[in-house]
Amino acid sequence: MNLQEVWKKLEMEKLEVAQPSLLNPWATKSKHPVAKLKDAYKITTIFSVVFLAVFVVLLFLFDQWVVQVAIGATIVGYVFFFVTNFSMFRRIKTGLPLDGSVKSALQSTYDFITANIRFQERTALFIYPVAAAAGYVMGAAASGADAWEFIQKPVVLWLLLAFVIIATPLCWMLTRWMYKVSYGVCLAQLRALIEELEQSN
Amino acid sequence: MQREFTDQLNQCRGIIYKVIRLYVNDAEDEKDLFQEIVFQAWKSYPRFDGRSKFSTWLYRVSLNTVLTFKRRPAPVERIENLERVAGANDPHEKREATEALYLAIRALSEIDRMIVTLHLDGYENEEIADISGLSKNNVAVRLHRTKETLTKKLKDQAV
Repeated sequence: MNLQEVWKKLEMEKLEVAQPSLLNPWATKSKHPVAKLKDAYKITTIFSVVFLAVFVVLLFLFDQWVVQVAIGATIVGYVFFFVTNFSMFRRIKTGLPLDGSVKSALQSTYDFITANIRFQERTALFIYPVAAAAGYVMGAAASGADAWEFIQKPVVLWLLLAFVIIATPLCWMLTRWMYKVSYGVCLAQLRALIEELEQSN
Repeated sequence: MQREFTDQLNQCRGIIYKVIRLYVNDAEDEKDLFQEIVFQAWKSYPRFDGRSKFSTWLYRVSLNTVLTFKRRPAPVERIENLERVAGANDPHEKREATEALYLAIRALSEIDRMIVTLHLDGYENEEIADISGLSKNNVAVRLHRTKETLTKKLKDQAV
């Protein structure tokens, strides 16, 4: 039996999709994993601006210098967070080229997603301890205590340290878990295909 | 450019249907992927230099988009279908029998599926190697093995 002959006999069924939107890529929003990452960067960038604005307002609301220093450190952290997220967002502006070989498209998509996840995890490790410490000092000041006296108590310092030690890995694990939920299946599919292609060569 | 792209795409849209049918099992995924392929093709179109045929280029974009897209896992009932249509007698079931080739191809690994369909569409091993990123020798080996499997399945069914 000639496979090519059988193949030619096959009639392509038309997919039941809404015709008017089919050839309108100009109005289409990509759902490709890389495009989703780009959206995530956009949202994170917007949120970092909102948080920055909130921290700037808080800086003027608290008159205790210890709190102002803690908020200042958080602002510096968020400025860094904003700059890195915005630059990543701009880098994904055009997406990945999908008109090369299958192997290179799979590999670049996989590398791109994993590099971005690693970047987010590292950023989380940097930003969470700073934000946690600032929140801790602000909480004390908001309850009416003198923040400088408050942080001089050994028990308070130990509690702050314990809080940072516990909260930072928890937040990091949460970040990892969220990325696993969002991209785990996609990465596993990509990895399996890349391995199949690599084993062949 | 928009007009030129749309005209070429309309002529070759069968390629997109074909790739989607080979890799996707879910109606929602089908719609998403059709849109996505058209979108990716449009975005990449300024890089299309005409050195290859538009249809070859679109095949490449379609395969890359489908394979790098997150898809729902395939159900396992296809081989059962292939065996069920093997004893087909009436015309309706005979049409199902030709569809069995599709089912047999869909039962292959995703990479073998790509290689065999490109071959059945008349692409040379060198072109398949270029599209897939495999070596030419490897394409030949995999193709030989896959064709044997498919021929055996279709012969078994015809008996």
